[in-house]
Amino acid sequence: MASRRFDKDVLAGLALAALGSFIALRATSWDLMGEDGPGPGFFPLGYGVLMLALSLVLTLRALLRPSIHAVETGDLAGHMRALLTWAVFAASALAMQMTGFVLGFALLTMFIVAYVFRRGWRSMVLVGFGCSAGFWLVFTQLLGVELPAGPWGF
Amino acid sequence: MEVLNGLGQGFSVALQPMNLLWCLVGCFLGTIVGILPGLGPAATIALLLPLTYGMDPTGGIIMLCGIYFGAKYGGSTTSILLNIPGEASSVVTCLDGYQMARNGRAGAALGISAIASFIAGTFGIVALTVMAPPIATFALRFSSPEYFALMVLGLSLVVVLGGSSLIKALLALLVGLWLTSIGTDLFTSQSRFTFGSSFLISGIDFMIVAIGVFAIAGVMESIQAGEENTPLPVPSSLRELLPSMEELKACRFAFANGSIVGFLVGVLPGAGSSIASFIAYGIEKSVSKHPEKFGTGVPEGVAAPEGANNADSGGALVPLLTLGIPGGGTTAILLSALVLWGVKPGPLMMIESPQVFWGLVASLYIGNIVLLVLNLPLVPVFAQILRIPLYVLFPIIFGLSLVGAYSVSDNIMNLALLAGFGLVGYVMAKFNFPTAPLILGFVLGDAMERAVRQSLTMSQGDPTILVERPISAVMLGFAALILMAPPLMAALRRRRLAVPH
Repeated sequence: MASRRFDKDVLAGLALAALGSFIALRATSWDLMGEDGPGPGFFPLGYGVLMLALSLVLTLRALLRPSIHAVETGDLAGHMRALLTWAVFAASALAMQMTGFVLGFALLTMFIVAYVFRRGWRSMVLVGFGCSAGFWLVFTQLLGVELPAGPWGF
Repeated sequence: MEVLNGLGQGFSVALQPMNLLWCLVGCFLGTIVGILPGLGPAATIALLLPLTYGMDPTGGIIMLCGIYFGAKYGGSTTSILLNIPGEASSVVTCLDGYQMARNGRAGAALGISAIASFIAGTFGIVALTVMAPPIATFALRFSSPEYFALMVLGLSLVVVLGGSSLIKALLALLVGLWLTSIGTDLFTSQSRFTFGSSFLISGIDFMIVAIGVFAIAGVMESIQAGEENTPLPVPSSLRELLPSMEELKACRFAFANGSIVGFLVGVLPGAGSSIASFIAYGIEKSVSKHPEKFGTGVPEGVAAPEGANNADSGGALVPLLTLGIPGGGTTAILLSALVLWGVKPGPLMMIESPQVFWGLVASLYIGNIVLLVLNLPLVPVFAQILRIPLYVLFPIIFGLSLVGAYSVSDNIMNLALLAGFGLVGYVMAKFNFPTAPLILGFVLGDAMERAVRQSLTMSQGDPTILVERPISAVMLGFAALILMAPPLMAALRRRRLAVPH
């Protein structure tokens, strides 16, 4: 029974039930129906309640069925690799406000080359700065697209 | 006559040098994208859309449709040469295409794929040309209740056909509806779900959701799977790409089968080209004199799914252009692109923006010829793209995503949202939730809410307005049937299985 807590559908169902409850509760704080017709809470209340009901069905069905669709833990290393890449992507995206696009993107690229693909430092530096310079040249210089600029202007 | 006049006007627009150039650029980019595994047409159009903001709407939509059609053509290359489908719709092509390649007929398989794509693609565009005007004329009778019912019907089909679990698809759709509610209510200016953030008051831009869910999540999945690409031998000359007369003869029925099945399935929202190619392959195998040979490298096994995959594109444009209802992720992005340029797809599009509508249709004919010319002799050149190492390709996809998201409003918060939606897309994939319903819910949510609120305002709050009008009643009835059919069938099946015990 303990492993059922890690059933994919149970986890997803509970998370979506929480979201559905939040949406429905929040919607009730706005006008549902006024003199001019439905208010801003009308539509969200409808899909919020439906989301809550469906997610509970998903959870119950998962709990009642004999076989368990456990979260894939077989490829834990793969998931960790993907999630760590995502974390670095998110961090470098947010840091671009300070570092600018060129440096932030170069660091992200170097991480991918070195960590995900296990390439040597030469490839890392070459691809990192090459891609970054290419983007800066094409988008900022040729197409005039605004990109986050660091203290040095790019 | 109306169609011929429209087409004449369309060709005068599509043959303008700049529009021809955009058509060529779109087809070229689409073919490259189709060849690259992991980067689908939806993600590419989402990535490149910000670059077309400043373009003339006709040129912009011509280029985006070129990408859409080109990706379908190019998708077969990796299926045949690597046994890796470039797009989900090219999965079936792997079955016989890769076997043909292993039997030394890689060139013929690529050639048959290009010819089938051309024949079926052209059939799909002809059918679009003929069917669009009467459908648009009929849709002029629609008011808010009918539009609401139509969206419910379309989304029901998407939910039922788009994934393995009806509940999960519905939940994904509801999350999409919620995401589109974030921001200011258009009727009352009430802020909804903004969590006190001034950034969220204007809502979340569709591009950020699409790029995150398709492009970022796609790369994360490839990284998780530990994909590596290896260079491969490719046909080096046009002669190697030409199928023999026997092979072409064997494909006669497959060309027709793929064309008809692909178009009909394409018109249905949510069915998508993957289903079209599976059905066409299934029909081909069932009517074949040698069904046992399917899977060992028969040319019909390549022609039928590839034809269906391409005819589907013309079919998918019918509901998009005539009703304003996209049937899948890629057409949802095309819809948002048209809206961005101030063009409203729907029954009035042919009247309000004839140059865009007919220019697009005419450019599809031109694009199809361009794609055949590009694909037959240039496949060996395009296949060289497969040599780009993934450690260069993935950063490029990330870079394009960052540029695309940031350029929506030059705000760093867009990048935070982009990362968030990338994670959402990845988690959805890992938990077996389909992403297309989320995207369609996001795209149609606003219009759906507007339609239902306008309907209830018209009836002073009486919901029976939705079932009193015949067209909307019929459409809602169909939607209910569609949604109830799978659980009812499952219950019946369980009952039948339980009887012997």
